[in-house]
Amino acid sequence: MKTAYIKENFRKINKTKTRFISLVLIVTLGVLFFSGMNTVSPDMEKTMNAYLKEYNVSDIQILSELGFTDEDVNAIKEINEVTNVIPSYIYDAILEKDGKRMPVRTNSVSKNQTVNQVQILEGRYIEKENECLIDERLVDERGYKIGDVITLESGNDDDISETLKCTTYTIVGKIRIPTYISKYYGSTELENGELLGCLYLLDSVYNTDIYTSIYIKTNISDKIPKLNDEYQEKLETIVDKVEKIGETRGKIRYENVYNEKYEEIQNAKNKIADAQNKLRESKEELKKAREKLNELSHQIYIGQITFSKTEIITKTLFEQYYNNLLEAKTKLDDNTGLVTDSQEKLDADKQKLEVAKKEYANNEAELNKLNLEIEKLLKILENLDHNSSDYAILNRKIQYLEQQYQSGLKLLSEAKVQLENADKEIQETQQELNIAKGQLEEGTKEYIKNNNEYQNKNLQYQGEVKKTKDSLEYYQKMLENGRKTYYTNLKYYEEESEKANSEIANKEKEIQDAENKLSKISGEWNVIGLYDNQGFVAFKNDLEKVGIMGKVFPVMFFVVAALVSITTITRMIEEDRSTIATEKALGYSKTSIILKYVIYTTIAAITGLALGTIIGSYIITNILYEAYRILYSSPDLLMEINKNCLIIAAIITFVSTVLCAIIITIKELNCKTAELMRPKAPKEGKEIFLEKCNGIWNRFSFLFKVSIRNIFRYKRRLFMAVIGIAGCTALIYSGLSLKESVDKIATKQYGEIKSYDMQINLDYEMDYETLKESLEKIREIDEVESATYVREKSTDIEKNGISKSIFYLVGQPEEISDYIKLQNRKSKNSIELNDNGIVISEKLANTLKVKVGDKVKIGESGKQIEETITGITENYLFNYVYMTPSVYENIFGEEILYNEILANTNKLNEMQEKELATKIKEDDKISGISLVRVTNEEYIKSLESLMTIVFLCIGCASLLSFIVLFNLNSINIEERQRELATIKVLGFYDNEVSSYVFRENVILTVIGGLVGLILGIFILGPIMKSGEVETIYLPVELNWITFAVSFAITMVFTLITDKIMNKRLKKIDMIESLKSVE
Amino acid sequence: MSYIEFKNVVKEYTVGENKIKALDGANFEIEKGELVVIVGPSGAGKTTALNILGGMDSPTSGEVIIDGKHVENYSERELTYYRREDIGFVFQFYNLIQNLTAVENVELATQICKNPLNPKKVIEKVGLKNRQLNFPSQLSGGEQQRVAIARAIAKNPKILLCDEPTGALDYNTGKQILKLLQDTCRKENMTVIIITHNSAIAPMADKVIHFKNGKSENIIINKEPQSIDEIEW
Repeated sequence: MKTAYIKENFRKINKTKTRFISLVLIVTLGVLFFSGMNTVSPDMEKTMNAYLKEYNVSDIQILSELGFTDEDVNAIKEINEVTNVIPSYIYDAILEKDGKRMPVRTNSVSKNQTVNQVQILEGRYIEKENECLIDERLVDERGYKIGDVITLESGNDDDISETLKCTTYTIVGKIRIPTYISKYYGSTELENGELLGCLYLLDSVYNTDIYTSIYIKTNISDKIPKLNDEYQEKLETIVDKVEKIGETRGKIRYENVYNEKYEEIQNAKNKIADAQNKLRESKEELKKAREKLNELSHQIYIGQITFSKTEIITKTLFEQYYNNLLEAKTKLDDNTGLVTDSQEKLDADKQKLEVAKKEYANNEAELNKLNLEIEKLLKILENLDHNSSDYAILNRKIQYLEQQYQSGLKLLSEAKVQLENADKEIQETQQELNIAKGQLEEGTKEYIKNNNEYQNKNLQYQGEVKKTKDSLEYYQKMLENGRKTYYTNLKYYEEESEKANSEIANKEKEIQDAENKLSKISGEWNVIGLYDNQGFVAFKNDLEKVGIMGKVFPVMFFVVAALVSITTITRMIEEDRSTIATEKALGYSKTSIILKYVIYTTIAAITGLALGTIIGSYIITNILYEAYRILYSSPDLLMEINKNCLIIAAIITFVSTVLCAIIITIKELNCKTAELMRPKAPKEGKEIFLEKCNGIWNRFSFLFKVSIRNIFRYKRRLFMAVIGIAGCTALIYSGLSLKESVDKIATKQYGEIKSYDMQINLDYEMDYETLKESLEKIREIDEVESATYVREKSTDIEKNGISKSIFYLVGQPEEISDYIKLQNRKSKNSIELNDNGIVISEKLANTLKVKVGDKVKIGESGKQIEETITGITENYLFNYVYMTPSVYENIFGEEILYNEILANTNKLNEMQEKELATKIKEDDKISGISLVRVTNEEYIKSLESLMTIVFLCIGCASLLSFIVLFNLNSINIEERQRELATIKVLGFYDNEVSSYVFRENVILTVIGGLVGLILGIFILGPIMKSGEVETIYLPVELNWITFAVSFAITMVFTLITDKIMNKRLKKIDMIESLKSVE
Repeated sequence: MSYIEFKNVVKEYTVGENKIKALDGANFEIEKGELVVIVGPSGAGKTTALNILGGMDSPTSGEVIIDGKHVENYSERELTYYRREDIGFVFQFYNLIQNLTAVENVELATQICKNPLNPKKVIEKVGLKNRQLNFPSQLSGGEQQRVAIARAIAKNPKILLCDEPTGALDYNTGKQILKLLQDTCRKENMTVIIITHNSAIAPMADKVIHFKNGKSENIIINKEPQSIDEIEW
């Protein structure tokens, strides 16, 4: 072997390490993305197929509103293609943890389940009836562990023991369920309609004979991957067969159930009729009783009146008599009094007389005395001198005394007469008085006699009155008691009849509802092929999306990578000009020269290809898969190197490296050897077309003109730069837009659209009258600004064969705008909620391909009603339909019951929120509260995984952009060394030399950036769609700020590259560069 | 005091373990307005000396005094300034900017110096009035070199340095170029230094410096320099 030759080869690789490594790197990068993104989809498909096969997932699931019987099972077994029929039970119950009531779905499994097996991640399979298996989501999100004991509660009015034998279970295993790939378990009637987990129980635990669901395994070979169209076609034929059977069986079941229920309803109706009869009877009796009482009352009344009348008359008589008696008595008394008085007076007079007599006597005596005295005195006088003074005096005295005696005697005799008269009078009077006394006595006697008589008669009368009164009282009491009893009875009757009536009303309502329901029941079988399994479909869709992504991104990467490698290799070979020339001159064959470069590039290509494929197939695929996995319960990714991918990648790589090398080398070799020896003529300069427009051209500064000309002079560089930068800007722009859209979702959805702060769940569905009290209580709390009541549940909507499961919300049209903003996304015009139809969310409208004014079918499958779309509203999470209560009633045919209260609160901190929630929950009509803020945060977290993709893209776009610019600059500087050295010699300062070169870079970046932004608008659409998972809506909105930022980022890379390149420029040695070729 | 003084200039390169002395104590003086020709065999150090004179390189030791200034100690920036304002360089392989027309090439140089001449006029002076809008690829070798000279002259330098300016040109064209240089020297009173292999043109110079083994031996002064027209070889 030509040893020097080989040596040269490997030395070459060694010497140009940087170049070799960068070549390998760029190939690796291109291949990495290409294979990674293109392998994810097939890997996912393979993984899912293997998963479904391993756990023997059933092909068909049948559901029916009325359930299934063993006869149905047998009928299905008759179908040829059916190999296995597994009837099972599904029952939704409530699991409570940390105050949160979670609706979960229980499924039945048998001890040796062969179809629809579950993947046991931890623990073991069920063995006993009080054990359960719990799905991984409940473990991861709610914190359950193996060994925990859980209790199930009924979520509705039915008693749980009607369905399940026991309610407490020990968790023995954590499982992953192949039939529930996505985190969507279906909708339920419990709570707010969202199932939060799944439990598996032993089938013997279920108490009922009626199966909820039947799983069917067909004879379609397991070798046919379930995600393939072939499988779907084969399955569809079998599904048709099952549906046919379903038609007959469904009818039979319907009739059975209908008849049964009908009888029940009739019985209930009869019972009600009985009850009502009884009530009527009672009422009658009460009426009678009342009549009787009235009779009695009337009679008593009459009796009383009669009595009163008689009493009055008698009383009057008695009174008169009494008055008379009284008069008589009074008279008697008066007379007695008079008599007594008279007697007294008389007595007094008598006494007076006596006194007078005494006095007379005294006076007489006195007078006698006086007389004596006089005599005495006379005597004396006699003895006296008639002329003495004493005689005069005495005489005078005796005269005086005589006078006195005389008058006294007169008086006495008057008095005596008087006394005698008085005596006589007194005696007369006494006689009269005695007579009067006698009369009085008689009168008194008679009076007493009359009085006694009166008293007796009175007593008698009183006695009789009392008797009558007593008797009346007795009857009155009887009446009162009778009345009391009556009223008690009446009250009792009223209370009881009110209760009974309301119960009857309820029961009647129930009956009506039951009748309604009965009229709406359908025995229709819902036959679901695996290809319709929601989780499956979603997975498949996402798989496709990833596939699409795989076609968009890597292509650009790869194109740029290819260009870069072509440029690098071209440069390398051009540098070797003289070496090639020398070898040619020495006589080496063209082949051997070409071979040299072939070896170089092949080594680089293979290394890059190998590295890229491995990293892409095992690391990148996993990263992308993990991002989607957040939304699924799916197994670990089965990774393998995709042959197709590898082949395509290899082809592109080889074309851009080895083939390129060969072509360029041949081109060089076709030049004459002598020419090769000389340095390559520099690329000629030409007028560019822009120069023709003198007006514009002359405005440019000189150095600017130089730069523009230079740009167009190096066409390959121009091409590569624009593509590279454009591609990167486009990717950065798309990535940023995607991130921005996703960020906006949460803030817009829970800040602007669902502007309420709290969602308060009612314990059970209730009508307005029932929830009114709770609503008022909530409204009265200070921290609550306003509250309204709604019904939020899920149902199905259909149009043009496309069916979707959606959430609907029934609100009060006048109030709802304070809680939910219904508006057109673009114009921001608000949409009114009225009775004319329904308002649906934007993504739903797109999916169903409808616009305002179109009609869609909405409601439970089998009984859907057509409604008109009156508005399409802005919405980013899930699919929503809004309607008024009357529209609801039109669709579902029953009176609306509400299950939620939405509330707006003041701005509260976490503590206050908790307090408020606790306060509200005191009302036992309230079962739970969710804070919008918390829901928001949780959702943002789950979306963060999506961002992995975004950052991956942006990161790689940046990296690529960097590499492109770096490479371009590097080569560009190399190519123009002479030119740059010349201007250095001319005296350009270092920074002037920099500007000279980098002015071009900046212009290129600007052009590339602008092209990139335009490109970005076009690829943005598909990228958004690929990032859009089932539940979110990412409208494509062009945002100037994102444009600006993307552009800025690209500019930054240019600047960084320039800075690094500066050093290169400084290093250009004028002397070396300008060395003449001697 | 001469206009240009080279005093014991030594330029040493270290390549691997070997030390190469490109200049080993060069000494010469040049007066203002002189037309100097430097001759010598390959590797004698001519280009090195010119490079140092032109501010593209710095001596390892020795003094280089141009118009009284010690250029040997100049920093990078000072050298750049020196090249910008005081030096005009003409290369053997023209080194024109391919992307600029003839007049633009000259403009490129005039745009950066303080006291340039009018590019158009200079182009005319070198006789390329009709070719001024052509790109170098559209010009013949002689025309290109004339543009290069125009570029150098337009800067209005103190010194015009020419490294084998006719090396790539044929006899007649070369003569034309040399005439141009001579005329420029005489008319504009510019100091012109020409390196050449061709000792036959030595008579046109005012001074001839012979270089050998890195030293400037033999400095001959021509009292009566001939016009290039008269010289045949």
